Amino acid sequence: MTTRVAFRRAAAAIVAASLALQSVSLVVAHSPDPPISWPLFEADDVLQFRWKEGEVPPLKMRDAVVAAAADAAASVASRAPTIAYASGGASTVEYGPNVFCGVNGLACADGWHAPDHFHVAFRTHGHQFDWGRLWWCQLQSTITNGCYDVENVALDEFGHVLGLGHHVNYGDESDYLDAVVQTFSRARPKAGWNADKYGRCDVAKLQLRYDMVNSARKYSTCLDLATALSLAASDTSIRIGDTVTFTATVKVADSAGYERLRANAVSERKVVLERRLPGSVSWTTVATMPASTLASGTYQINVSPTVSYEWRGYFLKPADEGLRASSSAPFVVTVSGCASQPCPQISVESTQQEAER
Amino acid sequence: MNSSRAVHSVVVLAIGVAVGACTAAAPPSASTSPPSPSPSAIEAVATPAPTPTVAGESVVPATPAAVSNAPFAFLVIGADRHTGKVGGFTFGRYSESAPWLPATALDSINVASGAELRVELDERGTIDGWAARIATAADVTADAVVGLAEGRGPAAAFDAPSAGDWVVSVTITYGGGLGSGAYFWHLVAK
Repeated sequence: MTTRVAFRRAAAAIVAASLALQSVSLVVAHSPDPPISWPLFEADDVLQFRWKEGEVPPLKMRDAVVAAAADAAASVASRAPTIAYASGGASTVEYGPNVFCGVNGLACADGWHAPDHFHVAFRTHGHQFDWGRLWWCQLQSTITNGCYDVENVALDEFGHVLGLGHHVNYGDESDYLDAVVQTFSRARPKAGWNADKYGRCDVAKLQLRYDMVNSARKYSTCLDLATALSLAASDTSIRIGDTVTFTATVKVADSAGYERLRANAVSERKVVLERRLPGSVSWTTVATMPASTLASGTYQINVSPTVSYEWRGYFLKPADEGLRASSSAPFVVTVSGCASQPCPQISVESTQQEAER
Repeated sequence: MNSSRAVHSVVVLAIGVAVGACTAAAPPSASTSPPSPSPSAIEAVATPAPTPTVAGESVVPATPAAVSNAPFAFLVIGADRHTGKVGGFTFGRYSESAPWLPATALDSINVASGAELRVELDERGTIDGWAARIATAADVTADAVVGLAEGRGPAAAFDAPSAGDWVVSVTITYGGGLGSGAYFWHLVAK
C-alpha cells in the first residue's frame, strides 16, 4: 500500500466516523407526503395538457412526459385525477431557456389556476446552473452519468399537480425510494433517478386526499390506519341445534386525520371468528369468515354452537398494506337444551354452504 | 428522546424565544457577512412580498409573483448572517425541482466547530419544522448525507459540525401549510 492510498483510506475512515458521530434520527420523517398548498383537483377528473405554443419540448422529451402521465395514472392507486396529453388541453407543459422556473430549478410546476388547470416547465437541455450543467438523459445521444430522467422529473411535477408536497425523508435519505416527489432530485445513476411509478408514501397521501377506488383495493404501507370491527349475531339465545349467523363489518376507523379514508368499508381481507368459554382468557379461532354479499366490508358465517361461548371477530393485519388489526367487542351466545334429540355436535358452515344444500 | 437531544431541545426552545423576538424586530436584509448575497440568490428573491400567516391555516400569497420564489433563509452565526441558496422547494402555489447543491455552487463560510448556528427566514415565511443534513464538500451528490439535527419551529438552531469542509442543507417546513424548502451553505469548520 502506498503512502498516498493509506492516507486516503485513513481520511475516509475519519470522515465516516465523523459523520456517524454527528448523525441523528429524524423522527418527524417517513410518513405520507405532506399536502401542497394549492386547491385540490377533483377526484376522478381528467387533466389534459398541451405543449405550450413557442416552447414545445423536443420529441423525445414529449414522449417521456406523456409516458410519465401514463406512469402516474398507473400508480396513483386511488381516485386521484388522470393526467393526459390532448392538443386542446387546458393545462400546459413547456420547455425552454425562459420558462418560469427559478434560478436553481431544472423543472417546476405552478398551481395558481388550480383546480382548473396547471403549468409545468422544463429547463433547456444544456442549461448552465451554478450547481452544474443540466443534461436530460432522453436528449443525449449517449446517456451519461449525471443526466436527469425526464420521465422521473415529470412524474415528480405531476405529483405536485395532484396535490403532493415534498416527502420528508430520514436524515440519511435511506427512505428516498418511498417517494418520487422529493426535495432533492437525483441524477443517474443514484438510486431512484429513474423511478417510474409513485412510491408508497406518495400513494399514501393520494389515497388520503382522493379516496380508494373501491373497498377491496390495498392501502399503502406508508399508512398506519386503525380499523374498527363490529360483530353481530342473528340470535344471542338459542337451543342446541339452532344456527346462529354471525356478521362482521370491517371499516377504517372514523378519524378526522384519515381524510377521505375515514370509515371506509374494508372488503376481501381476512376476518376470523373466535370463541372462548365465559371467564376464560384465551380465544380459539373457529373459522375464517367468508366475504358477504350483503354490503362492502361485511363477512358472514353460520355456526351451530352446543355450548354457551363468548364470541368475537378478529381482523388480521394484512402483511402488505397499512391497516392495523382490530377485534370486535365480545358477547355471549347462550345455548340451552336441545331442540331435538340426540343433541348435535358443533358445526361450522358458511352461508354459501348453507345455500348449496 | 435521549439526554443529548433533550438538552438540545431545551437549548433550541430557549433560543427560539430569543430568536422570535429578534426576528420580529430585525429586518431580514441586515446581512453582515458576506456583505451581499450571491447574484443567483439575489435573482431568486427579487421582490419579496410580505405575506400574512395564520397558524394552522394555509395562507396562499396573494399574487403569482409572490409564490415564484421561496422565502430567503439566513444562517446566523453570532452577529453574522449568511444568505442560503434554495434548492428544491414548494411555496404557496409553486414548486421547483433541484438537486443537492454542491459546494462549488456556494460561498464558503468559516465557522468554529460546535458554534451555535441558527436559521431564520425573511418576513414571508415562518418555520414550522426543520431538519439539517450534512455531506462533505467533496461529496457533490450527497451520497453519504446524514442527519445533523432536527426540530420544530419557530426557531431552528443546531451546532456547527466537527472540523471539516461541509455542505449543510436545512430543509424547512414553512408555517401555515405553505410548503417546504431546502437551503444550502458551505461550511468550513475548524
